[in-house]
Amino acid sequence: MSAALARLAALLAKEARQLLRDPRMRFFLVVPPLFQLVVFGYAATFEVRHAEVGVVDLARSEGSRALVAALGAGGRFRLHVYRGRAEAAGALVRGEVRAVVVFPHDFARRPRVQVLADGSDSNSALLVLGQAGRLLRTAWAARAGAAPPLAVEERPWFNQALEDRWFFVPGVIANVVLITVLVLTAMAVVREREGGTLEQLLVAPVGRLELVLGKLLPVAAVGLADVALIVAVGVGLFGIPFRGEPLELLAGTLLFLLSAQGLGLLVSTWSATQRQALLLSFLVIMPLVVLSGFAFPIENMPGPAQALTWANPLRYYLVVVRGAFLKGTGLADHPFELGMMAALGAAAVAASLARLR
Amino acid sequence: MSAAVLARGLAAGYGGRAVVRDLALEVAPGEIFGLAGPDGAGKSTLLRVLVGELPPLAGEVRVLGARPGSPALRRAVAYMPAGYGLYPDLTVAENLDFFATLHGLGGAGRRARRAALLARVGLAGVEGRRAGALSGGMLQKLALACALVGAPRLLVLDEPTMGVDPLSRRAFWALLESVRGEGATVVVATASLEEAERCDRVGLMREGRLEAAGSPAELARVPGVRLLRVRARAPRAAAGLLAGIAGVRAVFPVGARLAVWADEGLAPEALRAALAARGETAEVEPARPGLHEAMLWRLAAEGAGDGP
Amino acid sequence: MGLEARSGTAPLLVARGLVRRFGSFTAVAGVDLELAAGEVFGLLGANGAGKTTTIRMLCGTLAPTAGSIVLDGIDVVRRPRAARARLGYAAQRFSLYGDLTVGENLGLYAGLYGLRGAARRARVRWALEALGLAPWAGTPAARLPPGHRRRLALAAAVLHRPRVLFLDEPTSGVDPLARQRLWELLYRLAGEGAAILVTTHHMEEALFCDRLALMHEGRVIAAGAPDDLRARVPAGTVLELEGAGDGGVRARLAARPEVAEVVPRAGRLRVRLRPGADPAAARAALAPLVAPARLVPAEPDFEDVFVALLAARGEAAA
Repeated sequence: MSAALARLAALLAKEARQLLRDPRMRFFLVVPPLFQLVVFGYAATFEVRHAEVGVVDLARSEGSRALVAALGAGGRFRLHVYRGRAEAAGALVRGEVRAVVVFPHDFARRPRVQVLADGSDSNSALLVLGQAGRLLRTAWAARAGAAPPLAVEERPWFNQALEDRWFFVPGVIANVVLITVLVLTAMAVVREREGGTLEQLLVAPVGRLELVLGKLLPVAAVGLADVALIVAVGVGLFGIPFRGEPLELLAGTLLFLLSAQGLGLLVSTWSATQRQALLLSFLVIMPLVVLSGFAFPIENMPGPAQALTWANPLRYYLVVVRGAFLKGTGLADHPFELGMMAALGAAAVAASLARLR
Repeated sequence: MSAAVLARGLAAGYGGRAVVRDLALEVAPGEIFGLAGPDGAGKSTLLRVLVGELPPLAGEVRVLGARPGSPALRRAVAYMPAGYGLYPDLTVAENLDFFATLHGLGGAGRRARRAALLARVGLAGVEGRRAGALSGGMLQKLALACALVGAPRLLVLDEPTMGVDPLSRRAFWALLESVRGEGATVVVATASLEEAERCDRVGLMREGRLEAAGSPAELARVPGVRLLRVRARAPRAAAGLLAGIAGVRAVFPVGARLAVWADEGLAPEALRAALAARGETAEVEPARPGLHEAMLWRLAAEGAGDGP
Repeated sequence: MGLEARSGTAPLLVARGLVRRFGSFTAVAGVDLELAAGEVFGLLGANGAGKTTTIRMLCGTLAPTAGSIVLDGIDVVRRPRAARARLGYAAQRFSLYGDLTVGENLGLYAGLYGLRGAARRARVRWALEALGLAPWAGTPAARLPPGHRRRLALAAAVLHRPRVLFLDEPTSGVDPLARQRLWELLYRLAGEGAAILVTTHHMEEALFCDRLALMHEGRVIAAGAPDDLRARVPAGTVLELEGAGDGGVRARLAARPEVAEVVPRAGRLRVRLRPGADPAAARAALAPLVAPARLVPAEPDFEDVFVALLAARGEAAA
């Protein structure tokens, strides 16, 4: 056993040297995750300018009129007034407006507004919902003073699962980790095959498991570092809330790394060259992302697609990450998701070991 | 007539880094000129300059009187790259037809040319076989046929016989001789000095430079020393003994024998006697050095550098 | 047949009836080999003759379709990993890490072969010295000259003092001095008790081997000591021109039906008769063409051996 550990240590030292020595690798470790985070982060915090917004004022009260005026001021929203909900909904469906603000009949008695946004474009829906809600609340508070606070019912249409303005950003972590780790794992193995170095390793008394661990562990370390980096920047710089247990995030990340790296290994067993591995990786990554619930809710997918998501580790990781960030869940809350990632990861690694002959 | 290939002060390489440096070369029309040297000496780089695939970084090159790659040379220069550059998934006929089409042949002319070339290289009857399914020797013949499709005046070949069996090698050289017999000039790179002896003249390349050029006999001449072949009972022990004998300059064990470079004045008899005096009964006979032996001696004598 | 290892020592490697098929293609069609300690054994043949497939089976990286391999008492087919600790292998292609230095590559393999601490450092130092790589220890392997890269591959293969060493085309593309030094190193390692198997497609390298096997289309067509194999070329079928002939002599000889080819070799013309030609009659017929020079019988080289063996199998006529 200790001999095996010594061999593993030799392999790990070599991998670390190669990773750190290759400038392309160093670039790959740091820049894409930060780039993605910044793009998504800023996209999510961009101010809305001239968004077309429909208004339905059924109350026609002094208060509602004031709020409509406040909404129209400042140039963020360009207002279109509709007489009834049906008319406004039609405009929303046709894409003429990105959101509709409805003041109900009983507004004077009970100050509440409904904000409906076009959830098929989730990102802009989030922005419009968030900013319209904030603006209305602020305006109401400034005007009414002691009156009961304004209740804002935000409701994205076509995409009922959209529940928080930071819905997107935690998902970015999952995607960055998936892409980085899957590609790096596949490339790390195929680079050895392509360079002929695998042949030499296989003649040394190295076990297949040692060989595979020697590949998985350094890349897993990279994945963990990326997660830590994104969480630090996301929470520190963009003020994304982190409400859950760090331990849950760690456990979920480790199991997701196992499953994503398992897929990377599997990709490597079908690739003779790094180019093939890269192409195949992206052929695997694209459906994983599409069928994960990252952008499109799983409930809205056709049946067969929904069935496929069961074999998608990203689906489970998204639940864990979003839970940890947004819902404040803990280690005990996601046994099924953690279990599925472990099972998928073990299956992929086992299949790769069997194929690596 | 002017030279078939003429280079002066030639530098060539990739990404601005010179692999070939300050190279002068002259190949006479109608000769088979061999470029010999180890891997990394710059042979392929030089050949790629000659066929116009790689623009030189510096210096002057003329091939059949024109700049390499100029339109006038497109038909006149043929190139058979290392690894042959054929399409393994196409058949023998399809490969050949493809190159024929590039040379503007079509229809009946192309069919006739294909038949003639395949017969010439000894591949008639396998037109329908995929190139990927051919043996090394057959693949090499197909590659030559493809290079000859335009009836070139200069044929440039990069390690064409690497790893093929001796029969195929002989057949291939017979073909090269016949191509030269039709007036073409042949420039052929090889890593084997034994094979280079088949050429009319040889250029010895090392580290991007042409160190010497001449006929194999000229290049194999080593003044002041002679080559003796020693067959001893215990050859590996005899190597040590030989090194201690006056007049012995270098000892190279070759299996059961020893190649001994000695001062010109050391007679085989004297060496045998010296060995006998040291308790080793050996047969000693004079040997004639070939290109390989001469090159080995020169490299050893100059104590080829061993540091970075 | 000459396949048996040299007498007096138990063979370190015994392969029997090795067969390897890839789909419908048979790369190796029944090979038997025996290697003894202290022996340098050559596997000669053209590319595609089955040399590399054979070597990969012997190393335990490729399972044979049929046949058995016993290396130093270990069944390689059933226990490849146990066998790997006792064998060293340098592939035809450079198979170490170009981005690691010479020293790091050797350190890695010393570690993989279970060497640790001071023993590991000492062995790496030994390998650097033995192969003349000490001045290059800190150089990334990718920046070594091709000949030195081969030495590094060899150094990595002998770090763990293997009983049997496999080298696939170790001399391809190196200069004459590098080739000579490599063979001398193999003699030294064999002298320390290793059995060494070398493949090469350079026929002229056959003379360097203690014994060798000639492979053709997946089979061993002959095996034995170099001089034994040369004795199988029919006497008098390889001639040399002694004395000066005029310029046209080569063409005149080459045009004769009994002559296979005329090639210059070491400053003389070498005349190879066609397989099946009667040597005495041919010499008599050729003599007037070369006068005043003479045609004398010459020592056959391994191309001649190979061609003669194929002729004996009825393949050279084609």
